[in-house]
Amino acid sequence: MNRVEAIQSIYENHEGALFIICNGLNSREAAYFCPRKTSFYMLHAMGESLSVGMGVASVRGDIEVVVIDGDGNALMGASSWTMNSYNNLHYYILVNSKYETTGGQELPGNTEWPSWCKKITIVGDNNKASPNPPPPEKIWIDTQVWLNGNDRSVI
Amino acid sequence: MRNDNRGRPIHDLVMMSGEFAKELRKYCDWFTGIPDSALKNTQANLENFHFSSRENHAVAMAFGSRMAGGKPCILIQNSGLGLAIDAILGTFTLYNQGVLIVVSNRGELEWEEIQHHDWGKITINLIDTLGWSLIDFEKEVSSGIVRASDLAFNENRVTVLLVHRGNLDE
Repeated sequence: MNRVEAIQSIYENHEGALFIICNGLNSREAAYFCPRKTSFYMLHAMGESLSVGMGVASVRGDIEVVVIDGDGNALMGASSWTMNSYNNLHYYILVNSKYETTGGQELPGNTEWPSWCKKITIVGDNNKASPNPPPPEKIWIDTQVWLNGNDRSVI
Repeated sequence: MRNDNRGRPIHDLVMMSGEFAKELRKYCDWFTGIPDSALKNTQANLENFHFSSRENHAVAMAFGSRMAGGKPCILIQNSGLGLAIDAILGTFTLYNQGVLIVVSNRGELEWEEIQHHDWGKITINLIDTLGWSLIDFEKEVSSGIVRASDLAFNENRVTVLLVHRGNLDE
């Protein structure tokens, strides 16, 4: 499956969850092709989506938190793995063995991810340009409205 | 300035670590940090403290807690700012949120280990360059904690409460 199909399948598996999506093409394509109010799109801070998810999960034990990372991002955030002990946190790594956002620089293809990481191998692309996600103010407000229960609609 | 029990010059003791932690708990409800000898007693006295492996990850975890409604406080030594800056710019600053960062200003004193000296020279100028709010704990003591938390959580400012070596018991 390609990246968008992978993200949509994760959405379907975790109805009612808050999603933290790493910066780069994962956030761009998620915001452009399958936008949801339940997704927090990282725009920068590469490698930090897992840690952000851990912070949310530590405060909001009443909701499922799902982090969608790329393998390049995951390698950068690796040392946070050892601190993850939140039962309400799910961690997906979309593996394409390259830094696609910055031009396809190759990553090691033999990385052994911890067993609690849910690895999805992605292939191909959408052959469509995906713009930057919405501005940070909108991303923040949409997430706050959803987290505070004022509007639990997904789309 | 005073002398420590080894006769070395050190900043004045302005608060015991247990009391400092108690004051922080009045205004913050979620804590993270990296092990630091100057802040170790404070960290040990904080409930809801989440150790992190690196300063940039501590920042990101704190940002997540802020997103979830918390009032986060990060406790690190000044050298950790080097790792933390991009994470702060890419989270708190980008999404216009505030955070309180307690920073121990290592390397100001001649007798401190040489590896801290460069950070002791640049920390205040660096914070100023970044445009973050800076409060000197030695000068403002308890009122500085109140002001720092107000800046962080009511004005959405990235705010550093700077603690000098000796200001807290170690």
